[in-house]
Amino acid sequence: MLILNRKPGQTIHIGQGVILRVLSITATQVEIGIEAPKEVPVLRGELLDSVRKLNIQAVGAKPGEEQLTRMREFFKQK
Amino acid sequence: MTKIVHPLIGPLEYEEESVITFQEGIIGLEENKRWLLLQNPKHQPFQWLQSIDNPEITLMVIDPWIVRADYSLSISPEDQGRINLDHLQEREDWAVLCVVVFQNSLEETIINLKAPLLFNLKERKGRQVIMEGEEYQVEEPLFSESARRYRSEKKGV
Repeated sequence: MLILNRKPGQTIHIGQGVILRVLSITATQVEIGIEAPKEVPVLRGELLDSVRKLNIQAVGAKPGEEQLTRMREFFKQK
Repeated sequence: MTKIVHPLIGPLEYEEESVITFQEGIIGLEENKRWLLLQNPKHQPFQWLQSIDNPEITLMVIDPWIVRADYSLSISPEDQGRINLDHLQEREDWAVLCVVVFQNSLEETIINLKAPLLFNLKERKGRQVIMEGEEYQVEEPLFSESARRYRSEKKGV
């Protein structure tokens, strides 16, 4: 892993068009500005992790016939 | 005609043209690129997204507007463009479905409203996107008070 020391206002350029800028620092938090082309998705790591975890959990959690019937009851129209 | 076995529906045959390709996979299940969308009248309004690459992998999914009539989808033009949703004219050419995580108690059963699955049904392409903003959480109750209220109001009409 590449490790760089940066001060507020300084930047890191990644490939074509991705720029990270350190905006401010406190004791426990870094504020980072990100410039990236629209086709480059930028996501918080923990958000991606939680979606990943949930999808995997969903695969292993299937209702039985009886439970499914109860679930369907809830959405029955009239 | 190819055959796979679904845990609740049983053996099923499918045509190649009904396969939906998730080029980037579904988050956490990236090795599964080819999926079938199964609609069984006995399971409505729930549907199943069945991996062809691994028959043991099935996701229970539901149209988010059935759960929350006021569900608001905010997908960037870039995300829409990745599966050519921006080229579609007809409503029946696209679909949005959200993953349901079943728990033994219905109250604890959740739906992921934050990361819907988008489908271009015409080109048979799919993609899971994570929406920005604070409006929805990854884990929302499926049988929420608002859904319950909406249903009962609708029944009252």
